[in-house]
Amino acid sequence: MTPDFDVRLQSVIKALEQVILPAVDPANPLALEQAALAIGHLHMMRGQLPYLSDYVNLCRDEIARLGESLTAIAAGGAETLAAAVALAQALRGAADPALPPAQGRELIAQAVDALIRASGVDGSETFRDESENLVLDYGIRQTSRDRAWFKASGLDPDCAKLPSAAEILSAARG
Amino acid sequence: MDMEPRIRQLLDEKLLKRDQGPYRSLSDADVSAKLDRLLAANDVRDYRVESIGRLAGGASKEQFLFTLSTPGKTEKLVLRMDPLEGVVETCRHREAELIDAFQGHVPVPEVRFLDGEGAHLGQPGVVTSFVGGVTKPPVQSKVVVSGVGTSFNQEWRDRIVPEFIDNLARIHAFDWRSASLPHFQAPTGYPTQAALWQVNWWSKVWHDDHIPAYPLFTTGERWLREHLPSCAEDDLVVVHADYRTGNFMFDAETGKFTAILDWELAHIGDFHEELAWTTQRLFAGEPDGGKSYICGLMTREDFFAQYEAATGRTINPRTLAYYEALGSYKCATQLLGSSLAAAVRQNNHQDLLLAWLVPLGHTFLAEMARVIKEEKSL
Repeated sequence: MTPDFDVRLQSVIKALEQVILPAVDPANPLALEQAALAIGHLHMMRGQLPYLSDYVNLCRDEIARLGESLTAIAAGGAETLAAAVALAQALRGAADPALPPAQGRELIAQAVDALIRASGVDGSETFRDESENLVLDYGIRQTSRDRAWFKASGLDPDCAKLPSAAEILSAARG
Repeated sequence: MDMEPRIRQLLDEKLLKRDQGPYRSLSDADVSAKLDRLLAANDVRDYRVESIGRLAGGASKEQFLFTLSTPGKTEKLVLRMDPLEGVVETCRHREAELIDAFQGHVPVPEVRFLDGEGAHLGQPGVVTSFVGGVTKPPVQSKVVVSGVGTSFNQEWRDRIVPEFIDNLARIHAFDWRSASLPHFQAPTGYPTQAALWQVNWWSKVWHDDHIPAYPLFTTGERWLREHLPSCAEDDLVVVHADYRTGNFMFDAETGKFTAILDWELAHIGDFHEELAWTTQRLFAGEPDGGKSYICGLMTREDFFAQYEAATGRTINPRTLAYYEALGSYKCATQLLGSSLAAAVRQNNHQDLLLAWLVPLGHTFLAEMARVIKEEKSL
């Protein structure tokens, strides 16, 4: 494991910034832009790396909570109920420790999508409304986290107000 | 699914061509050879193509500047070509038709050559005249991508704002019913068709392009379908669909507009759609004196008041809110859907830029959720 990812990334960034970027033809604006973007990506990845595992787990756990809430209130006709059963199966599958958390998150997200679509066919009116609220509230929380995760790009209009990765994870732990 | 026919055709064709990748950026020699074929097909003789240079930016299209010399004439021209996949899939025929149609109405470049199907260039492309001007004030220290985040001081705002409003009013006053726009159709079938065509367009893009699933897209799409606003025929205009700082050029001395660019997403639709897009928070520059300015130019309230005064139209706040949600859905689709897919398949000349921009999709999704929550609470 030695040298670790951090020191290797740090060395690549230094080489790009101090040796390679100054050697790029100033008359080639695309090359300059791409070199700057490459450095930007590496800086951001270096900042995210220590938190990556915890963040992916958090994203999986949060969508699992949404899935559990939806299965608990699912009501309607055969399509909705079948999709709710499939979501419950996906939740069990995602809890398998052998499944990488990103795949678990995707398994649940697809099943939630299918349930929302099914509820559009024969979900009860109450479930449609409540599920919409649950997904919107989850979405607002998750987009806040994702925006914070990528705040180092500086593109988000609320960049200065967004928390750090450490703060997101700390808040999630309560 | 009811959708403007040309858009459906484009999106279906995209599914076929995206497997041809990965895409490799064109070299100057590649561009020269492609231009030779295009010029030969247009019976241009005794010419020289020189000074080929790639233009930076342009996350959507590959763009090159070059000089074409023919006996007695030398001209700087711009070539815009489709990569295999990008932020958006659009039509060079439509772009050229609108640029031609708007000659004399608003400042636009002139179309010199068109290869709408890519028969000569290999990929669809259009060659236009080069227009002088700048897209940001001469003194702009902050680095911006595609005009996003450009700021103006008060002196520049005073120069640009009247041009910004006047040109938008002219675009929306354009008589599209009498124009020759063979690759366009208008949503005149029923009152909600303008909105539905947009929902169907962008939801198809999401369904075709997305890699990870996001339940917020599914919920957002359902809300958009259940709340389609009506549009009176008189309110159907040519929507430029990306009218914002970065997509107009102006004279560096006077601020007078020299060209309105990037017509690729333009279509006939509800004028509210344009206003909602132009006022997206992402396109605002940095706040000045605590005030946020749309496109770095003026407050939302000023923009709407000046637009209404210039056009005689009345903005419906509920319709505007609907299109704010739709605009955010659309941007999120372009980023978390199409841009990510293009970068994953390496089908773009700027995969690196696309990967940099993708996370902004979360910002747009958050905006969409905020608008829907607010509308539900009314």
